[in-house]
Amino acid sequence: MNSLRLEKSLALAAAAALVATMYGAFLYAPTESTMGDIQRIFYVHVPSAWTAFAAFFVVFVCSVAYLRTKNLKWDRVAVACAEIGTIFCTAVLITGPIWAKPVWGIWWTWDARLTSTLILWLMYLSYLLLRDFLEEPQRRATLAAVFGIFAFVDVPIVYFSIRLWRTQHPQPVLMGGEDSGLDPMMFQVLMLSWVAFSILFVLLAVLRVRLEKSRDEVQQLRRQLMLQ
Amino acid sequence: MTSLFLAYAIIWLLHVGYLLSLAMRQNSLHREITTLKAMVEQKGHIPVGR
Repeated sequence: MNSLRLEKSLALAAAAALVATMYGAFLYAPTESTMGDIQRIFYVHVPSAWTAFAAFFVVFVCSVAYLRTKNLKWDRVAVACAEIGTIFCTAVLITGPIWAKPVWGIWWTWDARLTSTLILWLMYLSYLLLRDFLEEPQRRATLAAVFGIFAFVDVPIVYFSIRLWRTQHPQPVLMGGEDSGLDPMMFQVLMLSWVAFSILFVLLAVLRVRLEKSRDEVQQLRRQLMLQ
Repeated sequence: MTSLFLAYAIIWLLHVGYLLSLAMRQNSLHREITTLKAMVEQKGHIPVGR
């Protein structure tokens, strides 16, 4: 399958899955008894967080692979996923307070989950900014890889924060112990949304890696011009 | 309901905006590659492969 066909297939699959998610979130899933309709933010808030974690995990794996092989293809995938992960993390940080205000009465609180998520977002933003300050590709890739591995340490902290500390943020609804659980229809919509966001993530990653390849080509052509 | 629609609208604007930024950056790089390839060929010589 050539890259254009792959991109078109992914775009169609993502669009179909996202439309189905919207139907599921607004029309199929039952209304939550305590919070009412505002709880439907859950179907984009949680999958956005999971997708951000997945993207940052790819950054971690590619950073390790780059340090082992010094092959710049790993760096291209790492920067692509760092940028996309930051976008999804931004979505989490925007939808969270919009959900929190009507339910908690406040937009934000400095509890362990919210604070560690904000730190996660700031770290990957720093990762992207750091790259802009470094010109030489191998040096940039090496420093970014070290930073990419270091930044990933915060992902398990964010994930386990609601289990380890008392937080304003709710306890986990999945795999959270005896009191946790989700209505089967809500669970189906959550899984559908997670699949839709995952396809969107793969599509964005393919497009972003292509962009990085074009950037490398520009650098190569510039060097060639200077040598002539 | 306003907050709910606001949240969904922001999410989709964020993703559409990011997709548009990718497309714009790709187009800009594509134009730059075309120009640079022409300059390399004009200056002379080594054919450039993608």
